[in-house]
Amino acid sequence: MLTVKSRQHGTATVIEPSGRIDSTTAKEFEQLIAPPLVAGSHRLVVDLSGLEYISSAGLRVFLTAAKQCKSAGGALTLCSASDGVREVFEISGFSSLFGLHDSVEAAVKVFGEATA
Amino acid sequence: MDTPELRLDPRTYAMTVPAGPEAIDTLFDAMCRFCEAHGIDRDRQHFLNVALDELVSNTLRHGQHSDASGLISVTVEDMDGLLTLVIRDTGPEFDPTVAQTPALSGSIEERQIGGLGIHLVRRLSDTFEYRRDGIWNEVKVSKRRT
Repeated sequence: MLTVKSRQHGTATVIEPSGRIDSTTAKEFEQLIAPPLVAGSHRLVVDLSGLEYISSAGLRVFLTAAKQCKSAGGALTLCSASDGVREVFEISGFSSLFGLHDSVEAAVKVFGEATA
Repeated sequence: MDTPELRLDPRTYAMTVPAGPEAIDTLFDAMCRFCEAHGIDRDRQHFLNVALDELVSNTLRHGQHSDASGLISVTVEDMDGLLTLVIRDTGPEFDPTVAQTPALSGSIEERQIGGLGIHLVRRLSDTFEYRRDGIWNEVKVSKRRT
């Protein structure tokens, strides 16, 4: 239903959720993305390419994580959404709030890094 | 889970489940099977998934189903390219179609999540209707094939 992988890309942590983030999996997603935040990594790129769909329960987790990142001097940004997932982020106003990029390489530029 | 299923027509699927925490998972699995069997395109399948999650989680949250007697009944139908989802529940009267649109701008610090689910349903649907039918709340959403 939901799996989350993470990897480093320069100083950014790239999070790759796969499956769906909805009212039944949102809490699990929140716990799965907590480790990088707890570990002090506040430059997060969420690669949405493996995400089948997201509802408002999932958006809530993104907003909370983005608030944490920003208050620690970092940021959360997004990339590689499918059409349906992109539509949800656009309707909610979150794509302009977080930034929704075409690729991980484009997303990490938010942090002022050269592409690896 | 032993769940009664009612097959009315090849293009219609109906299911009634207890208004409990497992309702969404059970209904989601049924919707996925329906979409697969009927070749529902990805765009409308996404609409169906989001609408189901938002409306049923809303029902569970507002419905105050404190005992096991509450029911949620879902019908999905694909007719001539029009996909219609009807969700009925026995909770207190609640009309989600009159919910106000939340503030969609503002900084990360200012943004709130309340009301966003119903806003998503409204924007993703071609029609979004509510009626009270005896002890039932009935919410009907539809999306036309593009």
